[in-house]
Amino acid sequence: VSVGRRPAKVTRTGIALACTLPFLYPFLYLISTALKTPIAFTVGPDALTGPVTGANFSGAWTQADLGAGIEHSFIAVLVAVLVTVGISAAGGFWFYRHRGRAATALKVSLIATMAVPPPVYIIPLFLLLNSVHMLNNLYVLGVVYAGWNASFGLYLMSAYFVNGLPPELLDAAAVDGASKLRVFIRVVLPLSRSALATLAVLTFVWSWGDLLISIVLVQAPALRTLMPSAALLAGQFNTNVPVNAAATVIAIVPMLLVFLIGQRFLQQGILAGLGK
Amino acid sequence: VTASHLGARDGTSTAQPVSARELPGRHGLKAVREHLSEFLFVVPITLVIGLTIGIPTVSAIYHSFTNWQPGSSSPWSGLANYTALFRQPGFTSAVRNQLFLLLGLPAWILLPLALAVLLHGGVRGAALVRAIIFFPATVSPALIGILFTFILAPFGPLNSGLHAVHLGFLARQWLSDTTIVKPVLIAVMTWATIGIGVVIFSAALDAVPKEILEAAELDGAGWGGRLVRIIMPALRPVIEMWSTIMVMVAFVGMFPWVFVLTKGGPGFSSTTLDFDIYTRALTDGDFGAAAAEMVTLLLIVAVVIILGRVALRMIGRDAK
Repeated sequence: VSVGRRPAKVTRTGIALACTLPFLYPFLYLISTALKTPIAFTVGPDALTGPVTGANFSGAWTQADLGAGIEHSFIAVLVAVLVTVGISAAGGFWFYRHRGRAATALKVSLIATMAVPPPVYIIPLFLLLNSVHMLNNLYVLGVVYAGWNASFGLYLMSAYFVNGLPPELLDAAAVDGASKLRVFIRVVLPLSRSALATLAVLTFVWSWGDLLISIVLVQAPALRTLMPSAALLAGQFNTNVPVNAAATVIAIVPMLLVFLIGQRFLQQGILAGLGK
Repeated sequence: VTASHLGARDGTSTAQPVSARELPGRHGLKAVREHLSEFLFVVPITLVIGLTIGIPTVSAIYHSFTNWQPGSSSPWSGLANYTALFRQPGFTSAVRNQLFLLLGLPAWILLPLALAVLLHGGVRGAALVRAIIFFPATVSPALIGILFTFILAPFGPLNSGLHAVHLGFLARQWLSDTTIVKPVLIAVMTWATIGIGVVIFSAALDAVPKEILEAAELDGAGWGGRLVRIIMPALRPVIEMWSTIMVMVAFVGMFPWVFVLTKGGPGFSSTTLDFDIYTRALTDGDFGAAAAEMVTLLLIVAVVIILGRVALRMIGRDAK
């Protein structure tokens, strides 16, 4: 505000920029390593500059079968996002209109599953799916991701409907003789676009980044999703750091795109999640 | 068509009885259809959560009291799994390790809080700084683990950097030294989550009324005084919630980092309950004891949540 405070602002900016270094450097190191020839890496593993090669990327792509991993992840995560958003919005709309004791008890117990972490149920789920021959199935994996995310989804959508959906709107639609399904699709969903986008982005980020659920439920190497592929590659080819680094960069890129597109929704979602 | 249409509209007296006769049946059918479609809203989410979380959780609880032999009968065994589990070094180490991880709590709170306060004070390019610090939070934990296997490698950039600035005596085998591996995990957790903390604390700081801060400034309160007397009390609920979240991460979110960075080692020095459940069940095939470990983890989570709630309620009373 005043001139006297300018130096303070410069100092603060300097400190803030210095604080970004521990976050920037590992990624710069990762990218520069991924671009290094094996010889350049042996000679100067820490140098951030030098001759550049793309060979590590093609090496990582074929060795770890990352293309297939990305495809498998996309299938599972797409199912996860569609199912999570669909059942959370529909459930939230139902609980918006039904607030009896039984309905509230059901809603509370569904949301309470948010407190049950995957390590608690993943092994029994693995055994159950095994007994019905549904392991190594990317669509099943997607539905499990949906179950994992839907408790938060229901919480988010319920809160959004209660705060943002005026009951008069539904009454007006009901007078027009529209069915609940029609009202839901034509009125409620378009009105909740930002909440739906938030839920979709968060479900994408969480499901895409999952290691535990995927590594347990999809153990067939031919169907592995990206995170298990990358994690197992890191253990397998420990000697070839540049190829590993390239694999990591490839695995980060889809996330980076979602981050760039959905950062606003991501941060909104995290803040919304605070109320839980 | 038009004529009959008009006729129907005009001749309400003739149209009315017809529709009245039809109404009950039609209405009943429509009501049934409405009723059924009503349940279509709530059945899917109930089924999905029930099948993927509900039934497996109940199965874990039930089988923790049995000699669980998947695929054949699992005879009741009372508390045998629990007594066996509590003697397992993997389990006892995991509990001790995770209690050790909680030592990171001050860092998990103070570092993002300090950054948020710094950015709140007015920084050129604050949005960019926030985005850079937030980015690791969007990178999957497994990938962050892989990234740190490079950074922390014996001849990796951290050790050679320390040598370069004549601090070589600080260089360590970061991931294979039993005395240092847990602090390293704490550091990785801090690095990976700090951005979320900054976003949360920044939002909370923005909610502190500017007038109060300006009034305090006029009263001669310095930057530190404003921080302690106004900002910290206003942020206490958020700090409590963030603490609960981070304690939860320390207890149930460690699997990807442990799997990629240490595999629980060396020995059991960095194992955690989620990693131990995974290996106990899928590597050792000891499903009974693994189920007892799942239930123990569930109870720990319940205790953490209840403690968090109690703390929040106490804050609420303070505020009144």
